[in-house]
Amino acid sequence: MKSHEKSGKQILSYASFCLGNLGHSAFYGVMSTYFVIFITSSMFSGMQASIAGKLIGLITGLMVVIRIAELVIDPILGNIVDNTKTKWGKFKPWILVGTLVSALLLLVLFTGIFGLAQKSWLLFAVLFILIYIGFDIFYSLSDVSYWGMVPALSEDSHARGIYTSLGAFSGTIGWNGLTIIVVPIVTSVTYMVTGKHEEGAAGWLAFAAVISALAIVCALIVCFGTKEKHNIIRNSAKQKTSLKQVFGAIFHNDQILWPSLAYLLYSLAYIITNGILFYMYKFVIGKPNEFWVVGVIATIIGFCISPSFPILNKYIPRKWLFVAGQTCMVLAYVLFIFGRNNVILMDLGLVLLNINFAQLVTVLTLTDAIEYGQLKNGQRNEAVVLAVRPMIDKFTGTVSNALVGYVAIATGTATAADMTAHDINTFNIIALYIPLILAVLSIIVFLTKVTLSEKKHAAVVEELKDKLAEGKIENDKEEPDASVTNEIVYAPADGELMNLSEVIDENNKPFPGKGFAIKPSRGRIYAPFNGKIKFTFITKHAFEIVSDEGLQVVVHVGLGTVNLRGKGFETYYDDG
Amino acid sequence: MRKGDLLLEFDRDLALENGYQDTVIVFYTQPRKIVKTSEVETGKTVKHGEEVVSVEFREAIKNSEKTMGLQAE
Repeated sequence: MKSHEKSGKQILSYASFCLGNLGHSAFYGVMSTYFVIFITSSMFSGMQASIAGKLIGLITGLMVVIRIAELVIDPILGNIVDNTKTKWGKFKPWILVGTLVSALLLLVLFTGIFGLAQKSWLLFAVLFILIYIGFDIFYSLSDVSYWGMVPALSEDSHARGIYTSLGAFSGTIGWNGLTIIVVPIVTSVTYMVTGKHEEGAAGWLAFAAVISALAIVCALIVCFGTKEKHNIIRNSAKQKTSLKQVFGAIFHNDQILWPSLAYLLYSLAYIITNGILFYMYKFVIGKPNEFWVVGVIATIIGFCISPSFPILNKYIPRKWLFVAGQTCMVLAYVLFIFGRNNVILMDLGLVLLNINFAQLVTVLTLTDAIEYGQLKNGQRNEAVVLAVRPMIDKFTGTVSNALVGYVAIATGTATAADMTAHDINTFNIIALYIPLILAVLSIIVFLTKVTLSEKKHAAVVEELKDKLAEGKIENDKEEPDASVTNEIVYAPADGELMNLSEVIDENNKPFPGKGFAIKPSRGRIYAPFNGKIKFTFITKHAFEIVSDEGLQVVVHVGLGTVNLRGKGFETYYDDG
Repeated sequence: MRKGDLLLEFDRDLALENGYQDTVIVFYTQPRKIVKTSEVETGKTVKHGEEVVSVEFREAIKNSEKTMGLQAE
């Protein structure tokens, strides 16, 4: 087994993987948000307004359709990646090829397909659709491969957690970093080319080129800095989940349904505001050059929020952290509505908008809902449950695209001076009032419908344990015709043997069921026979295994240890 | 997973400091299928990998499941 020393190679691998998502997520930001802004503001400048309007409508509509189709396409692409065999592994070739091809195609799109729209808008429309679809498929291939690589980088769940959080961390920097650099790059390059201080096509192309180059460099770093491991059995095929399974899991488990809804409301509010803030600075406040502040504040707050969550969560239940975050969001909208002429109040609003615990609370609640569902329906849907949140993010991203497109079409090439009171009012409703209501609704949903607190989860696990011991969860029919098999169970730990009836649990009840116990002298657990791990509790303190002969047992480590929520436990295996 | 593979490490002191017990429990999740088990030698100190108990149980698992289990090894 691997030791946990942080060797040079290990650190290189962490750093490379971390850097990879910096370029990758910046690239995603360009394609999802800024490409729409470019299309609506600069791509068709100089064209007849009616045709430009039609094309903008067609393109934004197409992007929404493709993003929805992506939800279905992703598992297919995952399958392609899984079936790839090269001497560089199966992920790296796709990360590199996917990034290269999608970067090139995006640049072609940012040139307006080399100015084709001005010559033949019909041909342009057809080509655009084809190129965009190709672009999206290659981007998704690199995305699926990047995240799919995590289990291949380490068999240790602790190290995997580090990889995932490093990736998420640099992703935030890449995403918010865009907000900081977009206006300076676009306006300064446009100025160099045209001599005008504004956003123009040349500036947008330069911006896209910089980010594409960054994405390619970062992809190369991932490919050279990490090493896929070949010696372990990976069951990524099991991770593929269909849309139907996801919805099935959501609707059969109320503690997946309600947190998902609360998160959907939060995410819609946040992403609508984020997508439209650029327009707010451009039209309502009339200071597009100050837009970079949004990115700086989001980055700084992002730096502080994630690390502070576990500390705060020690003293404050996650439910109240969710409510606190959402209350900050509501206050932010109030400040945006009433304080927009005051720079300090605006910045304070941006700080409040980015103090959100919704995502972290949702992920934790949803993972706890796996055991809740197991107790309720006898089924564990780990892969499905973990797919819920990214799917909500994709959906709200699509809505944001559509809305940004709509606002862009409505505003056209206007400037702040052209805005009437009616326009401003429409803007307020979409960008501020609706999200404000969504934020309030998310609080209501979470407070009234989400009951799966940390305490409740511990109680669910205890109940689940008792039911497992009583044979009420696994198929436990007496099978008189079945042949009798023999299995020898070896000690899973060093220590003193005990009868199960001698074990008194934290509620002063003897431990239910049949089995044995060990008073351990060392904190190491070994496999008691040859077999497979069926599943592990989210809190890692217990797991179910089945022997090659078919004997099913649960190894339960400690009593009351469910409350440690995985702290102090390190696992060295894959389920399955 | 092969017999004797290290599966998990846990911090016994952390559990005890927090007022929990560190006892390791092994129980069967299909108790009705157990026909009989040998006597567990209570109080005996064992090393991991030493035989603890021999379990006789009725099992009608499908052959396909069995081969899948073997493939996964």
